[in-house]
Amino acid sequence: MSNLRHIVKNPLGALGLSLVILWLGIAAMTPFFAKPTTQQSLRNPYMIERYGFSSLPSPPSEESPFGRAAGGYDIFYGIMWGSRTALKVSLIVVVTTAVIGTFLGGMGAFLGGLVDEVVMRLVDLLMGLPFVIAVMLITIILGKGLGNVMLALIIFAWRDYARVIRSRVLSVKNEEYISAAKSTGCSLLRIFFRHILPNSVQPVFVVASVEMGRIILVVAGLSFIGVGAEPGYADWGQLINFARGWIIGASGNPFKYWYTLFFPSLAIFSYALGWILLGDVLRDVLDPKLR
Amino acid sequence: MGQYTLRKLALLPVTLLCLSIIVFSFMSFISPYARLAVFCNNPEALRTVNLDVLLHRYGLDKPVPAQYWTWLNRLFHADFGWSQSARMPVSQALLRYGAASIELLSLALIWALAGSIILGTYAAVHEQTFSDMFLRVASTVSLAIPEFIFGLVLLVVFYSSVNWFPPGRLSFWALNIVYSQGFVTYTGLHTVDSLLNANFWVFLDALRHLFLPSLVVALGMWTTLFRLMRSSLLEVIHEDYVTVARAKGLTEAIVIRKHARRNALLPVITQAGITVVRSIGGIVIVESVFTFRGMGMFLVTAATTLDFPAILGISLVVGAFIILMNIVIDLGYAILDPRIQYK
Repeated sequence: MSNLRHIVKNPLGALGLSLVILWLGIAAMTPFFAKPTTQQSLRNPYMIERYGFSSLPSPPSEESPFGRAAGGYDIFYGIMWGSRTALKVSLIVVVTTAVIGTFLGGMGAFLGGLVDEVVMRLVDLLMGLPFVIAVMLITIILGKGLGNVMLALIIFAWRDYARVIRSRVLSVKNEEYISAAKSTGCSLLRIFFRHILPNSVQPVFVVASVEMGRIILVVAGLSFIGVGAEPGYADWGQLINFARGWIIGASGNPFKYWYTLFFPSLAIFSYALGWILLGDVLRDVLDPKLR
Repeated sequence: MGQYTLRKLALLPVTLLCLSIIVFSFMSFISPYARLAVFCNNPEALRTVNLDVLLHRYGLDKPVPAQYWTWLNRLFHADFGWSQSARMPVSQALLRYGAASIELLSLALIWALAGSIILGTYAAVHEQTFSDMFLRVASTVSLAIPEFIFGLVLLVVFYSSVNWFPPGRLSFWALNIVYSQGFVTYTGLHTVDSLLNANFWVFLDALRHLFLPSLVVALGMWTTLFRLMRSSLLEVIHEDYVTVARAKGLTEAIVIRKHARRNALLPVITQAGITVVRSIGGIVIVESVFTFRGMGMFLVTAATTLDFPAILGISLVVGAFIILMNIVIDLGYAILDPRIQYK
């Protein structure tokens, strides 16, 4: 609880936390804000509401408060349901990678020897590959779709956790209380999960918070170049992709279609900023030296 | 140290061979008929030809190891194959697009290094003031700005509103000059070539097209470099020899510039190499936003049309680039900091 107080006392922490809470709230209340009405959306609410097939975007109106993107897609609806997509994707990827990375990196550091060597070589290999390119290659082979993007991200993103936890476990495992636990005859697994992990897991939360934001940036980027979500699926990167052909505007009025770019960008930016700020402040709060 | 470099270099072909096997075996998951599509320019023609004949002609009906062997054999004769998506031999496409990306990366690195060294010094000297706080917040906030959105916003403002910085790599008139008989291509970097050919207008045009994308890539680079510059200068400022320099009566500007900053630069320069490797992924997205025809766009078009010779070639070249960069980074550490020894 005292950690929370420290976060809120920092203006950036307060901003980050409120942005995160705002998006959690929007995701929770989505069906009230954006009711599916068209047939396709009723069948699957994640398919963005579509009014006609007009290739021209249309400005904000009473029906579509944020306007409609090319193809008649309702931007407000897309952003609302896209918040659920964003939360779902980032949570699944971050939780899975945090667990895998913490376990592999921690075990490697704790056991040392061959296990450590294998894990760290794997981490080195993954660090060396350019992330976006590798994820792209995997999605080409597995096919388009958010599920495959998530799988590809999980294969790659655990490396950061493994590195962070490793350095902590290496220093914790030489503490006296670990020797004490050993001398009382604790099993290796018990020592790892009950004594080492609770004392070294803190930085994982920092990385996880920052990653919650950064994963969404990567996913949006992939959807933007067309290897992410399937067409029409509520996803922020896709909304920007709809805007792409129209950002140049009409002659004489370059900002004519501003709403197609502005609202989805604001969504992506504020979501990522919230988690990144939260992680940044969390790092300061968890580091007792800085207090 | 020479031995260390040689051993790393000797491992390079082995690593690339492994990489090509991995990518090749990934590809074998895709049906040969889908892979055939890249060879057909005209969908109408597909109705009249026998697909199995085509499969046989391109060797796609052979077992995967045999296909790999054929590809490897050609590679030893410096033949990467034909890229249907670029409509030229893969090797030629790699040279042309690789040069474009290197141009973009280098300019971005110059912006990012200059910006973070100047701003980092400023923030460290004015520690805990408003401007320091502002810069630190800005560096965090820029982490949350996706490259493609920043790029699109810049395009709206500087291209569609005022038409200062158009997308693409060169204007049409400049392209005509660059690919004409009289223009000698030395490096493939348009900025360097145009200067060597003494054509200043082409140089300006190339710079004009590079400016926005390099700025976007630099935005992704500067956060780490800025933070590192600031913290390492803060560490150095409290060292004894800086106090001595001040005690000698030197002006504060000289103390910071000549005594403190030179030593604080070491970690920043070495981090710059790591940053370049990291921003290769960003290049893919930035190039597609600005339709800047470099390696990134080549990869996107090759990947979406399943152009396998191109994908293999790109993976090899990018892989080699990363490995070489890592060797350079290791050597950079050792040269800049004599205390580090490699065995």
